[in-house]
Amino acid sequence: MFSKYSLETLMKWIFMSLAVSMVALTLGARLHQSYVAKKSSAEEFGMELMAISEQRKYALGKEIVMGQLGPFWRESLPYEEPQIIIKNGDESLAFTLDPKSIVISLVEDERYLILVGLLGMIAAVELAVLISYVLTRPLRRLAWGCRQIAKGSHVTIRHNSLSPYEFHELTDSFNDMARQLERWKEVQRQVSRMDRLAALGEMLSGLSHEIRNPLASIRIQLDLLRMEIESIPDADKSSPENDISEAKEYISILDHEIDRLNGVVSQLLSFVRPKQPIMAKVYLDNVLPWCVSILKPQAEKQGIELVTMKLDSGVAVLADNEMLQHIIMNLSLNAIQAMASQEPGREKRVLIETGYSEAENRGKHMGLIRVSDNGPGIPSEIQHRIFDPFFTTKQDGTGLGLSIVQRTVDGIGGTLSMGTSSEGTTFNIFIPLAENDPFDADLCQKEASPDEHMGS
Amino acid sequence: MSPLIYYLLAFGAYTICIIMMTGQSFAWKETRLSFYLGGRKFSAFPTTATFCATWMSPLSLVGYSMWLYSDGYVAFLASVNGWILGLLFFPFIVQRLRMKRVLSLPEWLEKTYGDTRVRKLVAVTMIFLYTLYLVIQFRAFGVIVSYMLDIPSGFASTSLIYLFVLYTTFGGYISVVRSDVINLLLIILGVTVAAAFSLPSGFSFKTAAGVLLMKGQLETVKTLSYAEIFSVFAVMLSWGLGVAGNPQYAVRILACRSEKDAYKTIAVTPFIVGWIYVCVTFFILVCRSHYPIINDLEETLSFARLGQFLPSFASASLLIGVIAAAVSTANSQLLLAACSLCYDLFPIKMEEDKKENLVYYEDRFLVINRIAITLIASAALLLSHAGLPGYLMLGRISWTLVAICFFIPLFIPSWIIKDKLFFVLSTALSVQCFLVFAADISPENAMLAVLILEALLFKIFRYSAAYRGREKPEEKTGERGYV
Repeated sequence: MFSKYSLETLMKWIFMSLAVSMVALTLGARLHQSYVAKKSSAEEFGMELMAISEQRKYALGKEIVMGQLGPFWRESLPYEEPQIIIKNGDESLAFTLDPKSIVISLVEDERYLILVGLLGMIAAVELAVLISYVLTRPLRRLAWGCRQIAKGSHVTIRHNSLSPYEFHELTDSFNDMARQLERWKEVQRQVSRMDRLAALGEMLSGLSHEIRNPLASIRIQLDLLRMEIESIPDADKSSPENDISEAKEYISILDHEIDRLNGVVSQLLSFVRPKQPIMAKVYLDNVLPWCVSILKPQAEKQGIELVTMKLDSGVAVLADNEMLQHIIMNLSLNAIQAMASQEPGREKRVLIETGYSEAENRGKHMGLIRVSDNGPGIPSEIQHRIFDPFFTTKQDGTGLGLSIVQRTVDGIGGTLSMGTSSEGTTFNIFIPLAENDPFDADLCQKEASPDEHMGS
Repeated sequence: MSPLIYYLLAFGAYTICIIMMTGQSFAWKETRLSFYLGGRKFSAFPTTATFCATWMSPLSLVGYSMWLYSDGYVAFLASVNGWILGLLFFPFIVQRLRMKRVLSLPEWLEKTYGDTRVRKLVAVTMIFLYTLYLVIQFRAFGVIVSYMLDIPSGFASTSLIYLFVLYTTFGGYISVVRSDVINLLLIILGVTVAAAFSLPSGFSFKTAAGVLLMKGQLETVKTLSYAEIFSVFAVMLSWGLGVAGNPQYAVRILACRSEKDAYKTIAVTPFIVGWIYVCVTFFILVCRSHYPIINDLEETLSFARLGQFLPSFASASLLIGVIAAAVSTANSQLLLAACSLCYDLFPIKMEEDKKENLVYYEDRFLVINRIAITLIASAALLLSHAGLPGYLMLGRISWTLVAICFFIPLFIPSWIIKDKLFFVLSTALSVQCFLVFAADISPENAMLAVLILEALLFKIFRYSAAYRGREKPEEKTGERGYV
């Protein structure tokens, strides 16, 4: 019924009706009271004058009698029944009360009250508008918030100090709801990802099997062919019709391509059926030299400086050493490949750091491996997809590297986080500390070891 | 029946009418654009109504009337001619103003001439002159209400307009326009009824012509000395230029739905305003010839007393018309003063670091704006009880300041040298204040001198720049360069 009107309009009308009613009631009562008082006073005085005129037999002029009676009396009209008759000498003067004069006199006397009534009315309406303003603004924000959530964005409504308690409650509830919705959306995303991965895993498992079997057969046939060629006597090899150098070259290419295909299939299989980690105490200090030895040639080839740094010494984590190396290698290669296409003038650097996590992760201290680069960063529109399998921006990439890294980190009970900007990208891997880690025993005496360049 | 009853009834009806039909409530989706300019959605009819209602202030009605009553047609020549002269300038700025899509005139100056200091300077001037102007409205309203309700002129009577104006201004431009439509109707009704019932023998064209051409009326013009003619010309020019550059009208042009609507408004306004002036002039000339006895009283009180020669209902209509004029001008000026304070002088920035959402920002901005409206109105209410000069003097000071600030930048942009505008305007305003307040020269004469000074300064800067060869000709000035 009131859907066309705003709360402010409704409140304004309600308050105005109340104010008008109050003013009318107060003024009406006051005016009525004054009217009755004035009328009875005039009547009383008229009666008294009539009695006196009968006793004393006045002989005054008509104007003098009217002056004595006051402004509320007038001469009766011929058809009116007089209210008082005053004997004035030989004649009788008939008079009637004049209500109009009483009203005029009343209004003149009560004009201040009328003015105050008008002031009160305006003030009441202005108050109504202001109160409804205070009430409706939080509603407006909530409505906006609901629209934002419907659009899929996350919002938090701020409290308005002018709003009453109920609106604070409402705002809190809304914010709580928005948070829960956001969590629910995250859970939905995770579930959906898991489903997709499971389906993908099944398919890849079958596919890898189907590819690997003929691939093994091809490899055997190729080896036999190679052996066959190599068994040709040397004298025959030199003759022009038996020139086997070309055949050897073709076999070499085939060999390389089979290896590549095998690598892809192995990667697929390691994604689908991750290897069970062999958990042991691993010193992160020992991982770094290996990384340098493996990655340095690649980095130098691309003109990239590879820097390793021990933030803390003697950090022992519980993990699979081989898997840790695999993780670091994957992330570092990713960084190297990302920076390879950068303009030559700019300094390119990949930094691998190990130590304890600065902030508490999962409520306890953990080992940290950080791989960062000063590349162009990851565009915001693809950030949420980089851990998805087969998502790649490289022409010859499989899109499995980061996906496998995440799965591996999950497998060893760690967590992976990523931060990116136009200044570069950083991956943090938090790994549970091994028992008897020096951190627990000697935390207080431990001083941050100076930055140490182990290689470049 | 006693006139008091009529006055009380008329005033009560006006109060309820304003409460019920204006103000309304704050828009659900209000923004700065909707608050200052009504979202630029107004057609020609409401714009014309608000244009004319804002035009008719107590200065136009009471100040002019009492000048006419004392000096005859000279007042008409100097003031009405001047105001109408100002109206003729508006068609030239419609396109120029609307092209920038701004919310205020100081912002337009900044966008056009690229100097934030000019915006701030003009905003300060606007706050000052509109507060002065508000004093005129408050004072006139207080006097009329005290006369109508037979109460002492004081805080009670002026506090009514305070509430009226706050009520109508809080709703922003939309609310102001809504109240202006009612106010204009009341003004037209009041002056028309006054003119129709002013002749004791009843209205007829013959007697009306007799009054207009009565001996003594025209003599006031014929006997003017050269000095007086110059003075009249100066007043006419200053008021005309003041009208032409007045941001109250410029804002209404900005708020129009389209350029066509703006032109329609400018085309219709002279007829409505002209009709009101004709009626007022006729009523006052009748009073001047038949009842030349009211003098030595405060201007508004004298005007109200002239109403006693009318039948009670006509007198009530006329006085309500003056009240309507005061309210309509006051709310418009209050909105502009608050805009200058909150939008131009101390613009409230969006909290960039917090990525404040627009809905919060607009809310916060408009709440602060409403606080500013209350503060400015309160200041004007207090000043209306201070011993400031009469309406005409306050009006003359305000008009001349408006003309100095806006006339050349609005109408002769080809003279402006961008980087010198702030210097020229601040110099001009300082000189004007010195001449008026310290040297006691009349504001109009001072204004003419200051406008010449402004023009000279621009010319000197241009020639000196050209002489030094610092500026390329196409970069110097010129409307094409800016618009």
